[in-house]
Amino acid sequence: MQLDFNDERPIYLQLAEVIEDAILRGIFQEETQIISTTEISVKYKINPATAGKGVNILVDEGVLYKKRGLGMFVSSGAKERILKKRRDSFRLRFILPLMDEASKLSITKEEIIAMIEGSKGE
Amino acid sequence: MKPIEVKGITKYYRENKALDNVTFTMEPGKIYGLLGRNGAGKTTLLNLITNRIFPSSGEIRIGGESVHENDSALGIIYYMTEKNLFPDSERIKNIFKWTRQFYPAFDMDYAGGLSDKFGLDIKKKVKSLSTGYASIFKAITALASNSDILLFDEPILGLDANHRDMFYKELLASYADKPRTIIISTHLIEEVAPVLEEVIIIKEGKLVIKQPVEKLLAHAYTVSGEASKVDKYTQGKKHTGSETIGSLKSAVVLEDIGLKDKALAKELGLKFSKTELQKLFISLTN
Amino acid sequence: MNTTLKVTKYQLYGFYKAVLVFYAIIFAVSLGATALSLKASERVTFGGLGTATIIFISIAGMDCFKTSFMFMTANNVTRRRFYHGTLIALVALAAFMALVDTALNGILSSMFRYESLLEQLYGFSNYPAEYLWSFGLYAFAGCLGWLITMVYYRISGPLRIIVLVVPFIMGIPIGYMVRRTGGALGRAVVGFLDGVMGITAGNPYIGAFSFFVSAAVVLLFCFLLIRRAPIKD
Repeated sequence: MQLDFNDERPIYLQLAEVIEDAILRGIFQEETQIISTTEISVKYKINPATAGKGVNILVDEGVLYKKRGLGMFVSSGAKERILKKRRDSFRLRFILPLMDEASKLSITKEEIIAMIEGSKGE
Repeated sequence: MKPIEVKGITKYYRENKALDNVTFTMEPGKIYGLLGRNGAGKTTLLNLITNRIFPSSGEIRIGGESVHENDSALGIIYYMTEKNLFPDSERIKNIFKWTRQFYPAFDMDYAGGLSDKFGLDIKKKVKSLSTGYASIFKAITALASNSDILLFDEPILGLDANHRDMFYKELLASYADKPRTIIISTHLIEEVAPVLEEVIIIKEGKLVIKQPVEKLLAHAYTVSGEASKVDKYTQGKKHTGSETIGSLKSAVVLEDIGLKDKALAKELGLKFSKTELQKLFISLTN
Repeated sequence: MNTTLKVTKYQLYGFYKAVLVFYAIIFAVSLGATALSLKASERVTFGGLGTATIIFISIAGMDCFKTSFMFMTANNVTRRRFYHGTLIALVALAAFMALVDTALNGILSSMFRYESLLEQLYGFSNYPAEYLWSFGLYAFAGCLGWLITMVYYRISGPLRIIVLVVPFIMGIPIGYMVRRTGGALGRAVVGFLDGVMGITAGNPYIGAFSFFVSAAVVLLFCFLLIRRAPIKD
């Protein structure tokens, strides 16, 4: 996992995404505990308040839940929820900028598709 | 846990005004960054908070009590100074022992463990330490003091990348273990920025801003593009400092981005990007 | 233990090595003198080891300020605590050294003709007088050393040089005054010293009392100087 402080988004958003990625990849399984806010804070050298903010976003979205006195756990169905959210934003985050750049460079839709076909399996 | 109140502090060194009517309050339990360029008045402020020097006017209170010759207020603070205040010919382990006399909560095992981690030989004398190890030794003493309020003046001076990394981790681990007020004064902002919850920026003895880092960054952005167009965009907006490379220019705007702004930027072909604390700091203090 | 006494403890810790070395030398000298007096055919008079203690304790006084003030400040000890702790340490050191010296005087005079400072001045000696008089003198010397280094710390730049030079320059007008008054001034000073020391009166307790009063006055000045002493860069 990597947090890039040169990324343009706030650190807590990046952190939330890093945790989501870990859940998608199965590093954090549903109904298992994830590392604590303290551990996150120390590991990534970020303020615990920032770490807490990132974790809380996921709690609000129902991806994580708190077990009193035990820590933070991955909700059941979390993976599904993340997938849905990420799919919804896929067009906005990736396709639109792609099309924008492509039109600047006069790359046609067909060429893009060809590139995608050619990149498969890489 | 007690708040620190800085009330109308002015400090003259002869005719030289080091601090000019500075007022703010630090709520307990947060990690603050005291930022400013060299000579901005950071050390003066920390020295005043710990009653090591006296204000020309104004007052500093901790938990509602003036710090002036106040045992109970000063006793809950440990201040790691940039200047060495330790007896040169004393061994590190003896300094630890004496520090425990004055800070009964001083954790000897923790200090020893940290010294091992950093490779600090506690049998050495203070005067034999390099700049980096002097910083490490002072920082360890501060962390092990277990005080409610920790002040660090340029704590990473002379530390290599690995030791800096370790310092931030130990600081955060210790903070997680026992939440307290921590103030880190530095002019090296890039690395320390994510560790901070709030920043206090001073410039030429005056308070520029005191705000949570997130909030500060959320309400500032960089706009860049063709110089003349950037100028057109920033006209009438609260903005500071700009960088010019050839015909390209970028400026930091201290406002939220409104819908109108977005439209205008699109029309002018300008780009928005997030401002890092470092950039914002430079533009605020230049 | 409260903070004041911890400061005292730290100051005594600073003194103890130097005191050990000092007495090692004094004992060596005493042994040498004893050996010399046993060998010599004529009667040898030997005395005034107290002078060495006076020099030692005033240096200890000069040395007890800057480094320890910095270190105590690093530990956020208030000036008031530092002042009281140091005062107790200096007085305790004076009391201790007076005790050792009184005992040493007793031993040395039992072995050969030895005259302590007190005996040289007043012509006689007994334990209580010897102890109180030395105690007062050492306390005064120690505090004076402290005052000198505090004055030097508080002033800065050109003032430091002036303070260093003034005592020498003062010699000129004082010498002139002494000559002009045809020795009357000198006699007055000697008379004053004789009075406060109780020498003609043959009463060392007057001397001891004067030393303690002088030490108290010096300590008052130290207090005034430390009250607003800043940490310097």
